Amino acid sequence: MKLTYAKTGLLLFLMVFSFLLMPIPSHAASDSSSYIVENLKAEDIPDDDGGGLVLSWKPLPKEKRIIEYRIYRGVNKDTLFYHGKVDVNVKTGVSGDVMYYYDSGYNNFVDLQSPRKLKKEQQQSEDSPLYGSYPRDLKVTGPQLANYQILGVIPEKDFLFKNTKIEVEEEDGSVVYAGLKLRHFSGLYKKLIPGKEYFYTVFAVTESRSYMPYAEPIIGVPIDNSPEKIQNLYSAYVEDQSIMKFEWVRSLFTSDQTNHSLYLLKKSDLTAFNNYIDEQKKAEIDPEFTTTLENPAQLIFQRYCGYPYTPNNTVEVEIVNGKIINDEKHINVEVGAIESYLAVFSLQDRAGYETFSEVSSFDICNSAILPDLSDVWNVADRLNDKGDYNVVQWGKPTVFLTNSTFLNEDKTRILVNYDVYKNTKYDKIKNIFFNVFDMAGNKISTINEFYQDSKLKVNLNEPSQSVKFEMRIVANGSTGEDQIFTQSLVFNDEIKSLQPGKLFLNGKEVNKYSYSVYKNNYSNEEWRLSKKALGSQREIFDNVTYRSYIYKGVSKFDAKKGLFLVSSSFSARLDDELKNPIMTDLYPQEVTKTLDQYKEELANLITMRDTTDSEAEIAGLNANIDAYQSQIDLNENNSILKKAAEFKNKRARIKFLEKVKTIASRSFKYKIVKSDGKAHFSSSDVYRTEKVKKLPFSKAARKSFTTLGIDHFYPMPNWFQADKFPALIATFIFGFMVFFMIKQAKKGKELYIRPIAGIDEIDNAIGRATEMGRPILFVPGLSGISDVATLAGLSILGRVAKKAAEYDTRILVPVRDYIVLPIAQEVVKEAHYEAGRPDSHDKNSVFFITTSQFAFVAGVNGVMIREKTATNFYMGMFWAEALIMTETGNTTGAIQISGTDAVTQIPFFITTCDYTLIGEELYAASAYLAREPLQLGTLKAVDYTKFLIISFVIIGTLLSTVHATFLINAFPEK
Amino acid sequence: MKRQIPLIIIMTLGFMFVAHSFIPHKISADFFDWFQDWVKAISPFAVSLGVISLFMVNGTKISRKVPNWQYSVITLAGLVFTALAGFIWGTQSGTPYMWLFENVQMPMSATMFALLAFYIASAAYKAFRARSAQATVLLLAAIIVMLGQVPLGAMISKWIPETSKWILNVPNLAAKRAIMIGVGLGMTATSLKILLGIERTYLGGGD
Amino acid sequence: MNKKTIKFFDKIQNIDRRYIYIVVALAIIFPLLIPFNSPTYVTKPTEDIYKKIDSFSGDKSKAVLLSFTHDASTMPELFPMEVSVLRHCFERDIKVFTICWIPAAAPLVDYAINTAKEDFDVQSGIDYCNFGYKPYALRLPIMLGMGDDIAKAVETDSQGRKIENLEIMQDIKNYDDMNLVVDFAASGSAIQWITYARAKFGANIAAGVTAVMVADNYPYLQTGQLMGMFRGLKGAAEYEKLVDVFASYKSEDHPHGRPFSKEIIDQTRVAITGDAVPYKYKKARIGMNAQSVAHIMMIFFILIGNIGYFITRKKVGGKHV
Repeated sequence: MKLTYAKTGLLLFLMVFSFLLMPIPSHAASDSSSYIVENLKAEDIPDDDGGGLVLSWKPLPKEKRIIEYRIYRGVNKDTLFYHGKVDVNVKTGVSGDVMYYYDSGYNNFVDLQSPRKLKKEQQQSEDSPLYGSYPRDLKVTGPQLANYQILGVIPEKDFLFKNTKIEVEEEDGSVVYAGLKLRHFSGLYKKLIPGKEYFYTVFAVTESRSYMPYAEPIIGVPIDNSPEKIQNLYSAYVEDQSIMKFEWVRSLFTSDQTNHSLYLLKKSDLTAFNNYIDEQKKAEIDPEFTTTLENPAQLIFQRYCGYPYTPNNTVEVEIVNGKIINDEKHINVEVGAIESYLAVFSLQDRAGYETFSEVSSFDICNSAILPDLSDVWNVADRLNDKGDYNVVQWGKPTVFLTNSTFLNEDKTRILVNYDVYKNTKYDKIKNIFFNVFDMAGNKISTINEFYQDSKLKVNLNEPSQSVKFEMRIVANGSTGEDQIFTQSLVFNDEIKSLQPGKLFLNGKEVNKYSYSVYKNNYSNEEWRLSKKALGSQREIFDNVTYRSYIYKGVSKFDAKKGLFLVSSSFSARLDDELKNPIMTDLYPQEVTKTLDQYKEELANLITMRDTTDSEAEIAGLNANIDAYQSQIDLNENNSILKKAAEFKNKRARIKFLEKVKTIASRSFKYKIVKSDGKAHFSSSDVYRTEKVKKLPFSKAARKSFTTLGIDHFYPMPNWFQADKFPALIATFIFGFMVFFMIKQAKKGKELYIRPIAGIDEIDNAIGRATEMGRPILFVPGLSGISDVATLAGLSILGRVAKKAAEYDTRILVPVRDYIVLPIAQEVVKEAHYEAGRPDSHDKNSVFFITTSQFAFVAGVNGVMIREKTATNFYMGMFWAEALIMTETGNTTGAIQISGTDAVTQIPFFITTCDYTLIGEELYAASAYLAREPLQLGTLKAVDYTKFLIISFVIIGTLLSTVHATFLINAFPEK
Repeated sequence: MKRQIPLIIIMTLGFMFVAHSFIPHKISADFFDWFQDWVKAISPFAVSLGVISLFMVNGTKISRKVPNWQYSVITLAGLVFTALAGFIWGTQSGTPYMWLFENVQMPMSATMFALLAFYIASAAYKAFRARSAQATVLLLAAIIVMLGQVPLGAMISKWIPETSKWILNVPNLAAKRAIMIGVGLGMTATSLKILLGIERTYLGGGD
Repeated sequence: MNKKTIKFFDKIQNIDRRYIYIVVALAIIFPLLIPFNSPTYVTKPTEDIYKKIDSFSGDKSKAVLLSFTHDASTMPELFPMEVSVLRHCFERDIKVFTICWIPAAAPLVDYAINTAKEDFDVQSGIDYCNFGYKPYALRLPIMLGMGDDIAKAVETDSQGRKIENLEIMQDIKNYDDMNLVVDFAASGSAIQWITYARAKFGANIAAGVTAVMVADNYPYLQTGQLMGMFRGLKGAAEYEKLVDVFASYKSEDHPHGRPFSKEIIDQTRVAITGDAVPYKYKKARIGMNAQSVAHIMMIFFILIGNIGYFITRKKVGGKHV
């Protein structure tokens, strides 16, 4: 189409006019009051830790075309900051009568993406109390620290090395803090403070993004409640071992827990116990209420809840001589006949509230029914990784059926899918033998799966309701003849096919029990769950991350220096009993200062004890004295702290402490629990090994970790990925071939290369364009520079551009990738210089169109039609758009030469282009055109390597046909 | 020197990345992460190169009043207008930018893609002629695969989709794998040539 | 053979391609305007994806990631796939994440989620989460990073929330949990997932591609590196039917849908005329009608072309033209 002024004007007018069709806001300003949300309420969330409120309001009808609701929060009515939003589907609106928004837990306070300055919210009047989110500006944000519980998550390295020492004058003297910039926090999170008043408002945003008036701010006060109740408690008593076993289902929200406790309750005390719970509940709701009842249940077990990790949910309590004794927790309970007892589990939170589970009676059983945990298991460092995984593996490989499909209408041929769980100890499965039996128990067939492709075809004699499979695995390592798996395919009427039933190993149901792997390091007192596995699974990979964070409360700031202040003390690890943290400080002077304070405090306590007479007071003071004394002892005698104190250089001291911290948090011991989920479980001992691996830590750092390598495992990074060995060998062979062939070529040996029509024609095609006086089009593919095809395309471009410059023919190069653009420009420019025609180089001949795939094609097609290009080259990577370009080129009557390694586009190129370089010919083109020994040698090397690969393919096929799978197995699987 | 420094950078980094693919160690992984950060930092600058090129090419056309220069006006107006719409009103749903996207960009792109159907039809019409024995095989295969793709095929005979599957899975894949092996080696060879400095055309100019 | 016929075929031989275009256009437009019932046969690659996703039903420790690497141009083929997968996940209470790598895909993700979620009571951050647009340059680091820790690799979702704080992230750490990645693209982008997410971390990868790109992905499907594949519009139509027949199936015995069965799917016909199935959930099947007619049209053209070829060749004395 030839454009005139009139047409252009019309087009531009249409563009602008089309904009007028945008949905015009359907409301008038006058009735905007009807857009204010109604029934806005802020209520406490039950069962939480006092950090949550739920907002609710009545959503506006869908006719109002609301796109989102925005929520604002503050501690007074006049300043409310943007807090969050709820998206709404404009077309459907909100289906219910009430909308909810939960403001609970820790959510983002400020981060690097926060605005720099505090801004009034858009579209608000002068006196509006609404502001944007908290800015990075500490003058505004700093004072807000007092209105929330703020948690700073700091990458360990940043905390240890990027801090600034800040002294703040406080009531009781100057206090030292570690100051950190916002960028040193991986996150700063805020949570509501229980009992504090917060103001909220909400407004609606319409489809055209008009902000509607906000609702009158309301007040919400979060309240600390007792924790959420656990769902189920199971208890069992193993008579012959006199052990009580407990297992429960964990509750979902764990942030409001401190302790897990177990109680024994006499059945006769049940009513009294219920009364006690009722009274506790009353006291929780009404703080004025005074409790009078005592808990009739007796504590038999208590521990820390393990937050933030998932704790073990199984507990064993031993009865020795009719008594449960635990001195540390002051437990001494006499137990009578177990039938007369009930068990109760409880969760306690920081505020002292306690939630009891439903009572559960004991299942009295014998140890013979407990799951068998005699499988050999071990823990090892996972190989071929960067050192962030340990492997826990047990037992011998399992095989099981997963599905089946009928292959014919008579339902006598079935395709059966199976799968295998293995572990690194038995990682190469040689054979799986399947014996198939019909309903009557007659053997139908025997199948030897020497190459496991997860499917079997079985011919039945007649349609059957049930087919039984006996399976046996032969792997590396001795898997034994005696591991026989049985599983049946049973016809399921509902889904009209044979479905796998339960899996049995030597007659025992495999998936009745599941494995839970627990781990514990030097810096946490409680065991935590690593992973849960099915009864048929044989290994888990435990992630031991390199990243470690320090969690600190943040309540102070230094606006002048732009720093958030956190306490400078930190724990290096727990002591050997995993009870007390070994605390130290970023600044050595502070360590001494703290120690002096302890000593002073101790002296005070001793004087107090010596002057008082009351026995109760003395006992209390003695406990305190002991605590201080043990802290002082720890500080003075602990090998880590002693060693740290020896360092003169501050950085060296911190480096040493960092190493200790890393070893402590990345070394884990493991144990396995095998359970049916209902308190019938067996628990293994901690895994220990005698083959202690040498770990590359300095003696000083290792000194306090006596069990490291024996039961604590530290995963090490590997220097070579062993499963890439075949690739490495292949690389060397190929490299050698290249050098060898280049040498041959340099010696002057004639290397034959078969003629490639498409390349031979390049000169003619350029000549044609010259004769016709029309330009050449060259598209160097659509992908980026990292694609080798693009590089090959650019090499050809260089040669084509040089020829074109020699003939003085214009070349047009449209480009889709920004980074390819300057390179292509350089290539064309250099080509013109080399051809001695710098004058004919037009810097706009290489140009960018767009990154959008199909818009680019539209652009290229436009160039073809308007410029009437005589010759089109397409060299590089192409996708679905290829045909649209070449077909247009075909209609314009241009000679077209294409080359691509995109296999699916080759057919399109062949039908629409005059010459096509297929696959590797694209890569060979450069060498073919250059005809120099270096290039030709490489090309020849490719040929010989290809021959080698083909030989491998053929040999591999032949070998595996005769059941020799070693060659296939030599190559990595994935 | 102008040539040598880039070549040295290419060779060093190239071999480091080859080593990286065999070394899972943390040091190697960290180096890779560090490098990725640089890629992230550099790539936005390239966008400006594209935009500048677009302005230069179209600006020249407009100032020289070359034939059809009016298209360039529309191109530049579209670019500026869309960018401004995004900067001023943002890109959330309900904004002019999104409106442009949904009502201009989406239908236009879809139209270009839809052209494929027509072009494939005409290409197929031209290509599938029983000119020779091989061409006849190609023709038959095409008809079976096309029928296999639509319900009609299965309605005629259940063997049509089966055969279609076989054609795609066996002869088609065999040929494709052969080409892919060649391509893979070609890529490796080209990469090696670049690493060793044998192939330098992409640096601008010939050898 | 009379002269007229020969002349006709002669003409047909050199027909202006624009005539072909118009016939194709009509063959496509009419079936789209007037939907009719035609059977949809479900093939294995689609079925495998369905079964894999279905196996996550109600499991809070499993999730699916949908990766969008295409723009609006290929929407007609890919969009119905995305909507059906989302619908399946919402129907079966499966956690689903979405991510996109080109700016033009970001609105498509929202559009797909909004289309599917209309009929379900699902919430962002709890039942699904849109990671939003991440620049293509970050694709590799994110892809690899998710193998260790999704929350760290992705950091924020499309609403700028920190991922690690979201309820949906409970029990979801890396590819062990987010065990299936479905990549929707008009290019070979699934291959990257195979090389990095699958080879390094053992994630299951499935692809949803336009029909033109199907052949590119076949080798990976055959080796099992792709656990399943949506093959263009046909794949989308198959999935729509699967969701209709199983996940969305409601009866007294099965208030929450029923389990997959090869036998049932083969025997069931789902009517797409009428209002039983909302239009948005049968788009691909209506589109397949158009595709069927167009294919038949094409075959017809090819046959006519060949008949003409033989007739004219006879005329010129058996010489190859």
